[in-house]
Order: sequence, then C-alpha cells, then structure tokens
Amino acid sequence: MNSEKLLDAIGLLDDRYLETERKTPVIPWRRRLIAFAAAVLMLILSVGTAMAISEEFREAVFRFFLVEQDVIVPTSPVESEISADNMIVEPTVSITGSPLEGSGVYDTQSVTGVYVHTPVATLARDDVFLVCRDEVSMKSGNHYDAYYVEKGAFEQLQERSFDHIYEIRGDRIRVCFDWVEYKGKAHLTYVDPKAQFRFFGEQPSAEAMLACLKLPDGGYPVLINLYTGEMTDLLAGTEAESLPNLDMMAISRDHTKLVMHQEDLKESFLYYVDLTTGAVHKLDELAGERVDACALTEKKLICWSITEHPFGADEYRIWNIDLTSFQKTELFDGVRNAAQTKTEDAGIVFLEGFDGRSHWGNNYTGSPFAVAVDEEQNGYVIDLETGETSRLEGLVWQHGMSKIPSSDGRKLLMTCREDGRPDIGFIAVLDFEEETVLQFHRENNGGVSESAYWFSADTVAICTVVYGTSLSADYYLYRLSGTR
Amino acid sequence: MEDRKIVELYWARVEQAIHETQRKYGPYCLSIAKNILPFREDAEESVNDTYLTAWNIIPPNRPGNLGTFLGKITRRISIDRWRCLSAEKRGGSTVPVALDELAECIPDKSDPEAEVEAKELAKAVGRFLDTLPFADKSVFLKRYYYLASIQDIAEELRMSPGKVKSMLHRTRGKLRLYLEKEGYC
Repeated sequence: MNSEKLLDAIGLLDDRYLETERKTPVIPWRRRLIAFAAAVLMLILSVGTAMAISEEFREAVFRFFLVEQDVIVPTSPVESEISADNMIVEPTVSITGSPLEGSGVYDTQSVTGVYVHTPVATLARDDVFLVCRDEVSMKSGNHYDAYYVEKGAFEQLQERSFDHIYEIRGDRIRVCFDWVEYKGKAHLTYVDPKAQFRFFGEQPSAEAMLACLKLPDGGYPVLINLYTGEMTDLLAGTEAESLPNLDMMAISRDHTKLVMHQEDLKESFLYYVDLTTGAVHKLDELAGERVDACALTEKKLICWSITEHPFGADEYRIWNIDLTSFQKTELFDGVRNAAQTKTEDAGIVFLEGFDGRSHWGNNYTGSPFAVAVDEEQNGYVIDLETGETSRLEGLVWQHGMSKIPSSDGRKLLMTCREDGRPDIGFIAVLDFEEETVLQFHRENNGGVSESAYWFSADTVAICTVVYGTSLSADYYLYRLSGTR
Repeated sequence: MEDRKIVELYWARVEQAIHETQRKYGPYCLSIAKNILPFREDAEESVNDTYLTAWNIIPPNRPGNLGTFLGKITRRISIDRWRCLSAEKRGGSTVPVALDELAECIPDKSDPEAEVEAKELAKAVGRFLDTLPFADKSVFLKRYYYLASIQDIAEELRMSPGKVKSMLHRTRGKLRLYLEKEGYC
C-alpha cells in the first residue's frame, strides 16, 4: 500500500523537524510572550551595558571572511580488507579566496580539503587513525594500530609500552598502557579495561600528561612524563590532598592552574587550585553563591550558575573573579539559553565551561567566550573576561547549529546540515582571539549522514555516519590555514 | 545526564549508557511505541530493542540529537512489530487509521516504490513541511510521525478534536497537491 511508503518516508524525516517538535513544550501564549520579551530585553540591556563600559568594542566588529566556492566531496570506494595500502588519502579540494575588502588581515587565506577512507571503522583524532586489531572491535580493552598520513599515504606509527608503579597517599597504582607519539602528542593504543587511571586527551605534549589516578576514595590528579615515567603529584602538600570523590579535572596550558570536580551521591562542587602557591578554593565559597561551571583564563576565573526551567529555556547568571584580588565582577543575570528555544528567541547559544562533564575526554578548562543571538538571529561574541560584546557581522545564526569548542576554548566550530540534506553543508570556525570567522559551504552527494568528528587548532574533521551495519569510515579533513 | 555524555558512554562501551538512556529517554520512546502498539508488553519490547540497536550502532554513529535518534529507531521497530502483529490480527493501533488518512496523499494508482526511494519521498515531505505554518506542521508530525491519536493531540494542544481533524484534512490536501506537483502521484 502506498500510504505505508509515505508512513515510512515520514519516519526518515530529517532530525531538524523532529527536534523542533519534540522540544517545543505547550506553554500558554501569555507566558511565552512574556518570557520572550524578557529575554530580548535582557540581551539588549546586557549588550547596552557592555557598550557603555567600553567604546572601543563598538569598532571591534568581527572581521568576516567568506570562501564562496562550493566543495563537492568524493564518496567512498568499495570496501576491502584493511591495510595501509587500501586506506585512501586523497587531496581533493583546494579552495582559496581573499578577505573581504577593508579587513586587511590576511595576505592569503585558504582551506584545503583532504579525503581519507578507511575500509573498517576507525577512531581518529589529530590526524592519527586507530585501527582495531582484535577480532571483536569497539570494546574497552581493544588493541589498536595507529596510522598517520604522510604525503598522501598512510604510515604506521611505532607503538611504545609504558609500565610504572606510583605510590600516592599510601596506595600503589600501576599505570600500564601502550601508546604512540605523533607530533609530540600521545595517543593511547591499549589500556586495560580495569586500569586504575585515565589520561585526558588534547594535551599538547607527551612530556606532561594530566592523568587521573583512581584511588579507593576517588580520583587524584597527577602529571606524567610518558618518556621518562616521572610523575608530578599536583596536590601534594595542599589542602586538596585528601579531598574525596574527585571525578574530573583539567589543567591550564602552562600547568599553573587546576580545576577539579567533586561529586558524591548527594551533591557536587567545583574547586580551583593555584599550583604555584598550592592555594585551594571551593568555588561556591569563593563566589559566595552556587557555581555550576567555570572557565579559566590567565588572570580570571569565569563562573556561571544555571537556573533550570522544566518547561522553558534555562537561564544563566554569569560573573568573573580576578585571580589576584579575588574581586567579583557581575556580567549577566537571567540570560536565556537560546539553544534550547525556538528559532526566533534571543539569548546565549554557546557557553561551555568546565563543569564535571568529560568533554569528549579532553583536558578542557572551559571557553572564556560566549556566543549570543538577538531576536533576528544576529550573532554576538561576548568576551567573558572583559564583558565586551562584538557583533558577528555577516554570520546569521542557524538554529540547530552543532558547536564544538577547541580544547583551549579559543575557537569554536559550528556546523549544520542544509535544506534537509544529511551531509554537513555549512562549516564556520570562529576564532575568538583573532576576531575572525571563516565559513564555507560544501556538499557530499553520496546521500550519507555526516557529523563533525573532531576539531583541533587548524583542522575540522567531518566523518560520514552510516546508519545500520556498515563500519567503514570516510573523513573529510579541512585544513584552516586562515584561522592561524 | 547530557546527551553528549551518554553518547560518550556508548563510545566507551560502558553499559551505563543503556541505563542513562533508559532514565532520560525511556518514557519518550515508550510514548512513541505505545501510540503504535496497543499492548504495553509489545511497546516495552520495542523500547528494549531500541536500546539494543543503539548499543550496536553507536559507534560508529555519533548522533547530534540522541532523543530524535532514539525516537526514530523506536518508531521504525514499533511499526515493523505492528506489521508482524497485524498479520496475527491484533488490532487497537492508531496505525491503520493513519494509513487510511495518508492514502489520500498518494493514491493507490501511483507506484512510488518503483519510482522513488523512501529517502527521496522523505525529502519531499520535508520540503513540504517547510511551507507549513508552525501549528500545522506540529499537528502533522504529532499525527503521522508520533502516530498520536486525534484526542491526544487535541488535549496536548488545547484544541477541539474537530479542529485537529480539520487541520489534518487541510494539510493532507496540501500534501497531495505538493506531491503531485513534485511528480510523486
């Protein structure tokens, strides 16, 4: 019966139709109107306040660069047995353009695309592709071969073994795993599922890797040099040395500051540790109010609390604390999370800090920048360290845009599908510090679903997602030399 | 727990992923399954199959919206189950009525199976939905995606059942015209 075909087809509708439908609660009209008006007013007031503080940022409009060419990407070849020979690396795209007249920022700006196909499922990060060599894959405790791309071909990386025993607070912890090094960074290729430790990803050097040792009463942060085995006890001699139930931590790039999350069955807290002085601060006490998430900068700690509304968007209250004087500066109160609302709502659409979640296993100390939209979906970047707000000229926010911050929180990848297609059609990278946006459109006509897979300082990786049982993978790596 | 964290658990092959999914999306998936399958045990079985399917396909999938991802799986599994059960003459579902209603949009004389793939048809329906006012789109999706009863939609949206029926009738007429224009009928 043809109506059954139509019923099945409706089941294949793009997620965006269903997301809107699923998330839209039935709210009486009057309440919705008031909530919307309040959000718009709050955002206008917030922007207005920041403008009053600094005239300079009136001029600090984000420069905008648009690569106009569309990119048509290749699709996957026939699957075959895995080997370095039949994994395909193919430079497919080279698109270049000039900055818009008047910006004068870049001499050259380019995006180069590379196509990578692996005939089996792979894990990938920072240009290292891990291929499982066990019979049953995608389980914890799997062993992986690691490959990198060199001059258009795959090269296997030499595996190393690490096996050391450390004594912390009277407990002996064995840290044993296999790993490879690529461009100074470590990638783990085997970890025992019962290991008493875990490392965080996205760390710049294998010489000092933040690890969480699993002690009987919770996690404990240490730095480990993977080449020598030398371990640095980060909490030795501090008040935090015996804190129980720590489950998440992140360290600043210069290793002078640490944030930690403590959680038991009843409650959770965030802590800030100055590693140069050993001072430990419980953030709720430091701020004098509840802190749900934070972001570290060199001089400040940005904090926010979230008020949840079961039938509407959450609200943020945001402030920062000077790390020398511990003076608290209020920034915003009652700003809505517009990412949880319908398209015409104003509020914050990106705000992601250290909050006890693992952020894809990365060492993530939070982003000191937020992105907000007004009721016309014009974008604004808010520097939460200074309170300054800049208009994102030329970028109209698209509802349902997927966002991935870089691990240092200084860049933001935004992607979305277009016109109901399953492929990622739009990619934009916001460089908060350079005040630039790089955006371009692309197409994958293979009819497969895609998602943003990883984002590092200079590479956006888009990966095909095949519903069902196909386990091959296609990656499209876009090198963003223009974002610096 | 947030979606990203749950998906991470799937990728790490930690079985807690299933428990967290059950806790967060169990009622949502069950509500879809119950619209399609009149017997609770059938609906619950569909939801359990949803968890198993999610476990098997994440990875390699990394769903951007876990709720809709799971909802789609539940809907597909539940309709498949309904098709098996309807062969055994177990009635009480909203599906046959919804099918009768949708038959207006693509008459039996056309043969979409031979002419278009379901994915193409889904894209066309998506483009059609883009042309609809929000309320009409919402009612259409509740009825034909979530397969909710007219009464349930009316109660949820605080409308009379007659108004819901009338909106659906109007939308189906528009859909038929749209699909004709697109060459599907």
